[in-house]
Amino acid sequence: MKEKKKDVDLDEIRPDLAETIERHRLTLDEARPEAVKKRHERNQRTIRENIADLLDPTGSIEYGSLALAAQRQRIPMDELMKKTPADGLIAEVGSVNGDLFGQQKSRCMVLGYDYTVLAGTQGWFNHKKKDRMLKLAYKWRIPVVLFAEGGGGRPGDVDMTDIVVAGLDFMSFTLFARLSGLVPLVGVVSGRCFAGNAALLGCCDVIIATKDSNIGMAGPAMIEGGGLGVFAPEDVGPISIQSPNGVVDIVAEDDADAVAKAKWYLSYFQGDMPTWDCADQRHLRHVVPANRRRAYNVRRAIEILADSKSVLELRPEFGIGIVTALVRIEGKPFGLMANNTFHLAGAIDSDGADKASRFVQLCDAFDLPVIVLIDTPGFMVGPEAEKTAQVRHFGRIFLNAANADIPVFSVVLRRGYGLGAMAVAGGSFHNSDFIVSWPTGEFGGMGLEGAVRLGFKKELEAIDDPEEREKRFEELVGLYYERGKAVNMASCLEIDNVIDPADTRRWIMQGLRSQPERRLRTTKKRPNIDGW
Amino acid sequence: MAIDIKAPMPGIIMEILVDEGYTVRRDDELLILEAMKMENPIRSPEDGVVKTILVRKKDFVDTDQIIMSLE
Repeated sequence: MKEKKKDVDLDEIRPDLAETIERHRLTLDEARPEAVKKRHERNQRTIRENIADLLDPTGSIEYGSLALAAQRQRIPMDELMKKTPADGLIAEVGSVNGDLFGQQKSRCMVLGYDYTVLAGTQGWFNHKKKDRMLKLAYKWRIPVVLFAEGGGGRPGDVDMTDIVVAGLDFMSFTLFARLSGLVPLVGVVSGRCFAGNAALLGCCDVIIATKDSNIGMAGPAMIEGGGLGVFAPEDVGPISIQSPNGVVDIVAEDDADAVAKAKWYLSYFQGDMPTWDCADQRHLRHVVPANRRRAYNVRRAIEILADSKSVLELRPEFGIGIVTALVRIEGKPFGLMANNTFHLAGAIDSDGADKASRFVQLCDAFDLPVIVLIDTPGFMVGPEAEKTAQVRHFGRIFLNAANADIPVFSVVLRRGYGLGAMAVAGGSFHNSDFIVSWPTGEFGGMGLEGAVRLGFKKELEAIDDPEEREKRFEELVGLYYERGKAVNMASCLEIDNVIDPADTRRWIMQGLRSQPERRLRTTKKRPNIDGW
Repeated sequence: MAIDIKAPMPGIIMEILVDEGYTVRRDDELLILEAMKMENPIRSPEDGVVKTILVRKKDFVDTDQIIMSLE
């Protein structure tokens, strides 16, 4: 008690702290100029550069950064520290878009494979780190961004060879998949993403990949091992394949763009934008051509309808008959689906059905209301189309729509025909919270020509003169068309109203305001979001 | 530089809206392709001059078939 207190030198770094600082320094880019240089030469950023760009600059923390590859038996410790920092997986907790949505809603966990460490492979300790993080993510219900670049399982971790044979009892994939539907899972790919890294990626809600990346369930070594020949990594799953086939949701120019897109995507699940503006809504009156047989660009309708610069399209090159996008109206996030008349005249095919079904699951899991812009002659028909198993694919639209619990606001731009129109309107026109039509709307229980052929078969066959028969046929089609006009449809209350296209935003916003307040969810609403 | 205009889908050429030698601007309609009872305007991807037209009205075209080339 009597001991005189010495003044503490606040600048002093004691040896215990110095060792810690040194160990951390070795994990940073500054300590690894060669690895960084190689990255930059490939026109890629380091994982730390990507994470620094993703997370807000205020106060993220890193877990498990002192991990090293489980190769102590064959590589000296000081070399392991230099070559395998963090065992090739960076795990941080911080925030994304905090300036826009506040602390609570911007929480985010990042798991990022480091390609400069043993090619981003999944080693003993980075699996262990990932498992630790994924358990925390479940407990905290925190969104996860996964940077998935890397070569899959790492065979070179020799330290456990006596006690680990195959390691198939690892829980990483299960723990990651279990987060699906609980929190947004955002997968980002740059470079090469194969095998185990791709398995994680495939569980994400959304996949954002740079245009020069490669994704595959096996890389060249495993392909050759399977006796399928020798391939370069660039030959396996390039974006020219993985975007049109629906694997990749968003193609990015480069790393910086991919990170920007990840932030943008997350924002729709974080909350409302405080400020917004939109185009003069009278433009909507001129989107649908006066010629009713003319195809048009529905993306233009979406751009006008949504808040300026608020449209983020998902899977633009896959299932192109249906456009799916995240949008905002008056700052509020919505999911939006629209028929694309440039593809099969807007008829819904198997790919389009799958795309719509998965999109509804995504919106349902996170309570995003859905806007549907309808212009379809119905489901695709014909012997060729049936080869794609469309009976079951179309069933998915009904199944997902009927069992989702989100508001659906349907707007018929032009053709609302048959089962296809019903399906995209939430399974039934009256399963929509509202269904309104623009003045160009036309409706029928099925395609009019087909309906006339079926319904008036005998009457038409009774006319001998082919020209007379054709005339009568056209007359009947014309009659059906008149009957199916939007105003007549509304007079029979099969749709809720016919509206001025310029009023569409007003309808959607009042539709949203009419909903009861949603309770904050603490558990999953649905088991998961399907990978397909 | 020549630019090939390809059919984006199978269908029938309904109308050809330009002639060889025409100067066109980006987004100008070049021809109308009918598919599934829908008229699809095929637009010019760039400013240019129509060099050759390889189809005639009522011709059936397949996906990716070259229908016109611009310069």
